[in-house]
Amino acid sequence: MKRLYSRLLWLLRARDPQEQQAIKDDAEHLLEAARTRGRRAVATTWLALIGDLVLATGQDLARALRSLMRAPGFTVTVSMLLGLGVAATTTLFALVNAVMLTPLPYDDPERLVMIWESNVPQQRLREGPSPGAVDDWAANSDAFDALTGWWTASATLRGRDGSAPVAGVQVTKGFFEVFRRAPLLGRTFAGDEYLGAPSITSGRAGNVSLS
Amino acid sequence: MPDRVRSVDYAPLKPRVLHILLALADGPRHGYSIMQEVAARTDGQVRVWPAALYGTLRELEDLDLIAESGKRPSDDDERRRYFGLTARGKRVLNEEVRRLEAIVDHARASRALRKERSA
Repeated sequence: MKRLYSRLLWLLRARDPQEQQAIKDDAEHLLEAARTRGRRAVATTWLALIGDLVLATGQDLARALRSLMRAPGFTVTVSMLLGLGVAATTTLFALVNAVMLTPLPYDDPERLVMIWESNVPQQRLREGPSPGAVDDWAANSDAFDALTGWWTASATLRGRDGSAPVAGVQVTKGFFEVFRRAPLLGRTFAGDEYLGAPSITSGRAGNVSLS
Repeated sequence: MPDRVRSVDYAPLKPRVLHILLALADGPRHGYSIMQEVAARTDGQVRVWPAALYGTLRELEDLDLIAESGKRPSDDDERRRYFGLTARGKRVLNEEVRRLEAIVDHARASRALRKERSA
């Protein structure tokens, strides 16, 4: 129970340590006096001491609120600053979390790398390669387990009720195998469905993947 | 703080505050002694417990009604803090006792109460 009382004193942490020690010392004296009167006195003293701590915490809170109400300008300024601080910290954390902490949603994300094509003499750096170049790299390089390429694409989906724009990507052979992702609906491309000049699979293969 | 004490600034004192000031009326005491004195004066009907007591003592210090006292027995625990009434505290206590006396006098003069007491 002594440990419980010491822990409950945490509620009064706004008070100075000397005062907390005095409260603890006096509680011990009261319990010592109660021990001479029997078990029942000890039990009621414990209950009273714990009730006293809880009530005093409420009084400390009320006192703090009253002092805040007495200085509305200060309270509003501090609240706004706190709000701004919390918002800035939350935004920054969301950014750091998304960019640095959350792993990419793929198996073995540390083994995935992005590669670009550069033509240094012409000062064309980090450009997206052509589909043919990706196929050549995949066929002739053993530096990677697998290579694939993708390009953003847009199309118009026509139906009986009209048409709607559809955003998508065109991919080269092995795309789903590299990222080890399954479509939400249907199947991915079979081996020969990746084929076709210039080796980009698209709506021409009659295959659509939803993800 | 203005020197002249107006009873309306403090009255009515909370019962706990009144009992603490009364306990200090005869001289400085430390926290545990105040608790014992309050219990003894009220025959155990009013008890002040440590967390509430020290919170109230701090408030009374802020109001300049009590102050920490340097007077203490030489063989006492050094950690104990003694508190005594300030001049303002004495005046506020007097004002409150007078206010309560007036209420009691008024009650005693009440016919209904006299009948009840004589029955």
